[in-house]
Amino acid sequence: MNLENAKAQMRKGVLEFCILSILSRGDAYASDIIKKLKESELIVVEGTLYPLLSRQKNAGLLSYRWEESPQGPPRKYYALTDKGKEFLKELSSSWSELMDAVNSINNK
Amino acid sequence: MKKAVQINIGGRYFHIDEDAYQVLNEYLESLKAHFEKEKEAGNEIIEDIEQRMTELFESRLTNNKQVISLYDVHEVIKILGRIEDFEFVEEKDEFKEEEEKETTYKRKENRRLYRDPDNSYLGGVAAGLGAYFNIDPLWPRLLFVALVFANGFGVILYFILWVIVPKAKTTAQKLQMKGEPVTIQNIEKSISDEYQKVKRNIHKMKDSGKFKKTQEVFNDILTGIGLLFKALLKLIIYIIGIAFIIAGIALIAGIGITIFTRFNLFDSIHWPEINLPDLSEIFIDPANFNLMTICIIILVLVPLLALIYGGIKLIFNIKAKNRILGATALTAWILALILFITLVFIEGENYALEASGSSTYTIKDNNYKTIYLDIKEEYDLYQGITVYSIFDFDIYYNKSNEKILGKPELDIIKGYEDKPQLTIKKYARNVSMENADNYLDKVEYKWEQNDSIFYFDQFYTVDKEYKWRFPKVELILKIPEDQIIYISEGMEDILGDVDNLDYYWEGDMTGKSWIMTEKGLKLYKN
Repeated sequence: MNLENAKAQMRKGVLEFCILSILSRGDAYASDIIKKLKESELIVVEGTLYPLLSRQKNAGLLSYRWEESPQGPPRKYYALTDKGKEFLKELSSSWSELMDAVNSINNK
Repeated sequence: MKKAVQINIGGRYFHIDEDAYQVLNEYLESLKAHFEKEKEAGNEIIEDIEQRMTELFESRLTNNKQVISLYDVHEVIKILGRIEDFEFVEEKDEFKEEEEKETTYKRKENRRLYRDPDNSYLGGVAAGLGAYFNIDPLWPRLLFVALVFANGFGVILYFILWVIVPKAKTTAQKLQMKGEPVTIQNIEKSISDEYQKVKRNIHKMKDSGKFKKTQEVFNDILTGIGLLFKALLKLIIYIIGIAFIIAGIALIAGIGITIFTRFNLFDSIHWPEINLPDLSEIFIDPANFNLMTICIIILVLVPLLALIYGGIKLIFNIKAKNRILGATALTAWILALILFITLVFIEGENYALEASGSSTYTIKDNNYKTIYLDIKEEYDLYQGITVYSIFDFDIYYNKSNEKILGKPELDIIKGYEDKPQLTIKKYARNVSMENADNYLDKVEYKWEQNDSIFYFDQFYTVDKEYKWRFPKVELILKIPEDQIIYISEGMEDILGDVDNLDYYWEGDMTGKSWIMTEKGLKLYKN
């Protein structure tokens, strides 16, 4: 059992959860997601995000479409799929359960 | 002035400084190499990252600044992160880590010391040591530097290690250096690692070209000296190795020839007089002798074989240590030594004491005017007789009847009885405690009287089974005054140092008549 690994595992789960959460409030392109994740200090380097997005998309949780941008090349907009929404709901409920559990244990 | 190149990332054109381009290209290559295994998804990830890169570059360009600089590239890479900074890109889980730990544990055993050329500053010795002990190469480096101040010991140590520790050249060696098992997966992993390293090295080199150059020159010089010493060392090792082999084979051959000839396993003309097993039977129990022979063979052969083995190992640079072989050989040698010493003691005990005894016979005298002394011819004693000359002893061995023979010595002195007397004195120089008393009985000497003729046996005999304990037989013939004796020619063989008034040598005393006078033996003239 090593601390770095435990932390990484935790953060991975949370990060995946947060990506879905961000997208549930509306479609977004990668830079938007990065901005929000960086604000909440969930990621340090941006490169971390792309493999996760790619995996979630391949798992059928996300879809994307191309949209013209006012400046520069077209952007890739990510959106939650139905499966993604379902997944997020599950994650949300298990998250609150976990929070409650952790809190109740920690506060005792 | 800097050269700028035009690139296309994420569907946009940029102008970029050449040095910046190099770094950017390396970075993208490293990403591609990493995500390559994810195929389709990997391409997509790269595309997304490139897309993001475009945005980041755009935000850095202004109307006054149209070209991407090296600094920009470094900043963008910092934001995006290098592969090793990506979190949980590798799908790691507990189980895998456990497994890795286990392999780490196993690794130690097949880890080998190599010089690590990939992380080297000089010859890669410190880096290799670091890999070997699984520590940061900084520590060995510091140690070497510290040891430089110990009378320059660090320099010598480093140099020696440089010369004798091989450089990890192949992928398999690099894996062994880190103690990782050489499997296809590991080789693949190592190759892709190396790929990254090459990329980063290029990057490093660009950053510090000057440093690298000095290092290379220094490296070249030291490598040159190192190669020279290595060649010399190799030559010396070769010579020593060949010398070992030649010496070993020559000694074995020499000993072998000697033993075989002396053992008469094939007919030898050169040493017909000595046949070791036969000779040994005279002194030593044959079983003990065989054991001793085996011991001696082991005692001599083992070191010689070790010499040859060592020589071969030196020449062919065989690193493998065969502990079992070595231990067996050493054990055999020590056992042989112990056994040999024990046997020597056992046999040596047989020679510890001296014994002597005598018996006197009065001659039947019918008042012969002349007494004739003669040798009794016993032809069967001469059949197949072998003479061994050891020190001042002549030992005669007759293999056919298994009798050991010795020549007695006859002395003739004045007797005070009225009749001649013969005293037979037997000595044994070396007898063992248990047979000290009766050994002398086994020493047989025969003589006989036929009227006036005394026949003396030419030899006294000991049966082979009683061994040769260096017995001696002295014959003392006491002659009364005025008695005439004739010493026949054949007596020369056994005649000792006989005092006579004419000062004749014993060899000259035969074939003549003598008379015992008051003062001693005197030549008698008719």
